[in-house]
Amino acid sequence: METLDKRRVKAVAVLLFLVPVSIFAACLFGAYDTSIAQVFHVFKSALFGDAESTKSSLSFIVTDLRLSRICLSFLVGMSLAVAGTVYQGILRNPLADPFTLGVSSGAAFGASLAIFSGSTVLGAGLWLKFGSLFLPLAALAGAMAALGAVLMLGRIGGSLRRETMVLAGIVVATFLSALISLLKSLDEDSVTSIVFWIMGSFQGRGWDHVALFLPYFILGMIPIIYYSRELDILSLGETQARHLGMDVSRVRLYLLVGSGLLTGAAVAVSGIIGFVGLIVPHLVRMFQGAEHRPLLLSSSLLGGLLLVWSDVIARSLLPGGEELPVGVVTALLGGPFFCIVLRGGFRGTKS
Amino acid sequence: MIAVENISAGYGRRKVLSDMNLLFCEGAMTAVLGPNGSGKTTLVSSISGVLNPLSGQIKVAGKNVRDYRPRELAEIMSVLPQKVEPAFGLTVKSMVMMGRYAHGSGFFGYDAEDENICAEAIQRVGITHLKDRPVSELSGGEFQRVLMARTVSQQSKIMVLDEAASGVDVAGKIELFDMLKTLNKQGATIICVIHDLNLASLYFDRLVFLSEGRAVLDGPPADVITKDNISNVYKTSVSIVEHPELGVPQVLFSPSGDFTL
Repeated sequence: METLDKRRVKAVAVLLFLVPVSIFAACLFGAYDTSIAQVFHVFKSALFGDAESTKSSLSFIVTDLRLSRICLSFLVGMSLAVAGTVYQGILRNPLADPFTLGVSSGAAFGASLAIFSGSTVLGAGLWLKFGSLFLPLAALAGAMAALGAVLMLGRIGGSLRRETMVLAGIVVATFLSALISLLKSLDEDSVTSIVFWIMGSFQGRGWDHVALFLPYFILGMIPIIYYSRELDILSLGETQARHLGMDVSRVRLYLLVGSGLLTGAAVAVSGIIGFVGLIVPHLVRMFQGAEHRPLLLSSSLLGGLLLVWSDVIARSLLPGGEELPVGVVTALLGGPFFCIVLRGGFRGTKS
Repeated sequence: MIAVENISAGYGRRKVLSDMNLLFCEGAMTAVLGPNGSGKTTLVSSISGVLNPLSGQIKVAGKNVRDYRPRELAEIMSVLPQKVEPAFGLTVKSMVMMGRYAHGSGFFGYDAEDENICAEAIQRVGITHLKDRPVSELSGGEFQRVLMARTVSQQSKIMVLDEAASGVDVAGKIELFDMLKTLNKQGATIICVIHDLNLASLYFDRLVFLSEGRAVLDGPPADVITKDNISNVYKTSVSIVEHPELGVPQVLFSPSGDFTL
């Protein structure tokens, strides 16, 4: 059998090759028919600074409408997969991800509450101008509060068990979704549709959202990359981590804040997208083992790719230019997978 | 030196250890024995600083164990815990490498020296052939050896082991305790929870028996392993014989029921 190291290199090489190919290929899909040659021409002129053709409407469609959305979905996919990997490692729970833990719903509720109260207090105009900058922070606060609630609920009746924790996640997620619906019905004119928060979508997202997302993405990634080695040790549990010399509460806090930022920012720009953070780390772990550094790298790339293609399906499946929420696509893919994991198909990753 | 001073410890309202006083001298090799629920693991948790005692304190090298920073403590004390479940399939090598965490230099992780120390520890416990396997695929005894290798790679002066050899076969136990004895001769202070009275008698200088949260017997094997003592502590009848080659006491058990074969 080939060694794990070789498999890891192979996985990263394949994924790194697929990223630019997928980004290019995904630009071909959309309501407006474009040929490979046309898209290639737009990319070429954009890269080599051909000012004339960057102003064409074709160029606008490819770069401003499609490429921006593809970049955003790639970054969001990365974030969700990384956050899922971190939650699974810290909580030692193969069923944990931002969605199943209710963290995404918490973030969505935080963001909706901010929009609701912000536009009421500041007035819609002022809010639209400045408020949306802080949307990811409101989402972060919601995410952390939801995670805290889930951990507390999961502890009821003694020790933290993985089934109890996911159950607690579902309870919290359902409750918060209901609150979001309530907020929406109180304020009919809010900017975003309810489907956007509940099922997630990249419809109408552009470079603005990439710019809004990027700082939080970087800020969230820093502690996770820095403490990636510690994740291995934390996945053995708190007591062993202490024995091995780790300052558990500090490291865990940084990691939770990091993944909370990623989840919060992802939800703020794209709503709740489930299952990416659950499926991706599992697939990668099955292929290349559980060590967190290579796991995080491959998971982030695979998560990005998965969401890019899910979004392609979401915007090209229905005829006549109508879109599915991307969360529907990931849920359709993820639901059956979740059942397999729950039934004990994760023998390869758990003793 | 580890000083257990008037320790009472427990979980929630349940008190497991009461007013215990023990002294573990530098370079000593001590076994902690006793029936289930007598407080052995609670004592280990208290000594390793994980469990905050209800009253009293534990001093390691003159300083309260709770006042150490985790990394500082891990440099001088390694702990092999009982009942570990590997959550994910990390490889044997990664698990053993974790022993070097407290010595690590931060983000860039383990250097060539750490690699060598781990390779040596892996060889020492006899699991070189397993080093690239995921621990989730190992048997209980093999996994126990991985934990032992990790403890060895930590290279600390104090080793606290909670049932280090549980699930390991007889020959493996002899290998592991031979190794512990060697480490002890090289200067390590060893405190080991163990269930096997006969192995304890073969390898350890001092045996401490716990019963209902108190240290009821304390001394070298020849003094404490007597028919009355063992029968009292374990509430079962035993016979004591002398080891034919080594002269240390060994314990034989008899069925308590009235069986006829």
